[in-house]
Amino acid sequence: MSILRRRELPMSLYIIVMVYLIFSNYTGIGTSLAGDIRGWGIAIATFAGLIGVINISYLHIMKLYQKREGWPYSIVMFTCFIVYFFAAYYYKPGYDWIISNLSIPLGAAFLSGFNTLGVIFRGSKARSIWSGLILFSVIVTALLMVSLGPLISPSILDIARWIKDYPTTGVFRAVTIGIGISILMLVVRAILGMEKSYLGEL
Amino acid sequence: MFPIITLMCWSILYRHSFLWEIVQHSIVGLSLALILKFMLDFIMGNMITPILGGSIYPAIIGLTLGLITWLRLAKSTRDFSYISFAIMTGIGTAICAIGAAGPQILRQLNVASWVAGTPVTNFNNFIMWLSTVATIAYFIFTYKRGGLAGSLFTGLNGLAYIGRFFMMLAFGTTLGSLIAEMAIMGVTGYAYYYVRPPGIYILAIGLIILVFDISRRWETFFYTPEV
Amino acid sequence: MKKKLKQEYEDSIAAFLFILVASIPMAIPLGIPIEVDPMTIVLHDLIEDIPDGGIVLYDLTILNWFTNFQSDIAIFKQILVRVRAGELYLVIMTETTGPIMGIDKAWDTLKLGELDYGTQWVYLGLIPGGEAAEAAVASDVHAAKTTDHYGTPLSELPLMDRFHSLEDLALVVTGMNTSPDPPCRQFGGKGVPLILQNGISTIPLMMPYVEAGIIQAYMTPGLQTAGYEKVQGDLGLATSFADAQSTTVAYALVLMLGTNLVYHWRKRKT
Repeated sequence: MSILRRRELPMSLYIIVMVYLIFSNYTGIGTSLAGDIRGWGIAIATFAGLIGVINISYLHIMKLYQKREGWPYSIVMFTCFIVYFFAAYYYKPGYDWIISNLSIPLGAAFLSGFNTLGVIFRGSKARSIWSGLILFSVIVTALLMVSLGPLISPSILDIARWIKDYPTTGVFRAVTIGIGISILMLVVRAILGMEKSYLGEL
Repeated sequence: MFPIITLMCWSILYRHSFLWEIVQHSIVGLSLALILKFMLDFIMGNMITPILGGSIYPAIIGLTLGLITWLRLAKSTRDFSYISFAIMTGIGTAICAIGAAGPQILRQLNVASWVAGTPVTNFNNFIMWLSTVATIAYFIFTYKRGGLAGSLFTGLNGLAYIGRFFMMLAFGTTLGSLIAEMAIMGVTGYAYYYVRPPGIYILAIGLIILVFDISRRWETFFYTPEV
Repeated sequence: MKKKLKQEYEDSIAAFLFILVASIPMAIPLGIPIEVDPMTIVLHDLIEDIPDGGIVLYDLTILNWFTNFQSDIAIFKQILVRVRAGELYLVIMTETTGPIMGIDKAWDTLKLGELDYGTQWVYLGLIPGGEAAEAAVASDVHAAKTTDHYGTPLSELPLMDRFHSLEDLALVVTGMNTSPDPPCRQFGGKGVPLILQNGISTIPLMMPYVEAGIIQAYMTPGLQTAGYEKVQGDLGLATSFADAQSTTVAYALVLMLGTNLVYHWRKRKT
């Protein structure tokens, strides 16, 4: 069993699977097995997602057991969990009601963009020419994205559109190329055995 | 329910309260239930059912590898789970690498002509090329002034300086887009429900409670700065 | 010494004003005219020009009901007009659990129950794994998922006889709100048109792919979706939000300019 614990086994599997998929894609050899391997990846992702469920449930059970601060809210969590889970299988009207009246409004309300407000009125001071340039670009772009923009000045929008279509595209094209090259470097690092983040090591 | 849930979520903007804790834990519970339900359905439909129906391969390997991930939950068996995570990471890296070569690198290297079109089009294409090259120069070819590389590649340092100019415009565009997104994210949707009955009545009750709480805790909103 | 307001309450006041500014146009519409973005016309024409008999794959990755999902609903409506006319076929997949709720909630709006399931459209449901799921669907959808959302084997659905991989598709639409890299890597540049429904803040990230011809068209929530609803002649929630979006952006810009003016005035004083 000790061989299964050694780092070399997962590292080897990582490299073998990765190289095989790349090889199969570019040569067309062994595409059936490659498809099966991709399916296994989805299966692993499914079970890995359930680890999160187990972990959070465990944390809240321990919170209840040890009566730590905020433990009554764990009861709220488990109540919602159990009710929703059983409604999803056995009581469709309840499930529909929970989706329409709880899940969707809760999910959307948590995504409200108030955190950006702090950035706006604390982080947007133009202390130099460079930050002044950012500020100018922010203002013209924000006006481009709303119906108020054309009412203020069509020429500002032309400038905003030009900035979006040319300099911004060029800069993010460079970023995209950098990301692509980084991914290929990751493959090289993996083959050389330098990539160990999936083992919990840096 | 929309207005009630909204006000409970937004109570955090005023102060931390039991309302916020309730909605926070509710959404965790609801999300967990949903994830559990659909993941279980996926496992049943795509692994268990084919195995029970006689189609053992490849579902059995997927199921086995998936169950191995759960060995992570115990300290004594954690090392075995790296087998599954290594395979998943290898698949992910391969998928990204295969996809990166074409769309992210080769297709991005196409340059539109600087001479074939109208003067404005040619200028715009030149600007796009210059911003790309200058940005790459900024990230890769910025050298310390005065050193050997710095004096040999003064031109590249200049190009990096131009790159900074274009990057400021690009990041400003990103922040401007983010502001436009923030403007519509969530608030406008909720406003739709609580500016008309019955939401407006719930809003009125919420405002009364807010005003009462502010008046009760007025002194706690201020502090005396240290000299 | 004079007392000052605590910082967290400054944030609270700014947020409260933000909510106020967003709420007023919802109660009293300002009627600011909505301009149709050229990209909206490109997207609209792209869907209209799909040859008859084509299969459209709609990949949903996020549920953001008031913003991104309204854009998804608008695109769905245009596609479903052609599906009802027997010109197109639709396959829906989701990568997370959120969009499943969105589909359930939008079921009646989209009138999905009136379609012939299995022949006109198929709901694959959740395929977890993110980009791995997209890659699996692009190469062999039957290996990625053996049953649909309701547990029916794909082999029993007539539409799935024609859809095995990306090459069998006439259009791919991905609804998301993050970096456009994954769908561009897996679906883009392979001869099948790709439409992205993505957040407004991801426009700069999408532009290189648009320029390179990887993304043929994109849709963003807010003004662009309001313009899209105007083109379709079917006004929805996005149109109602357009005025509120304008006022809240104006508020944010006033806040930004005001902060800078106060900062520079104080700097000059000292």
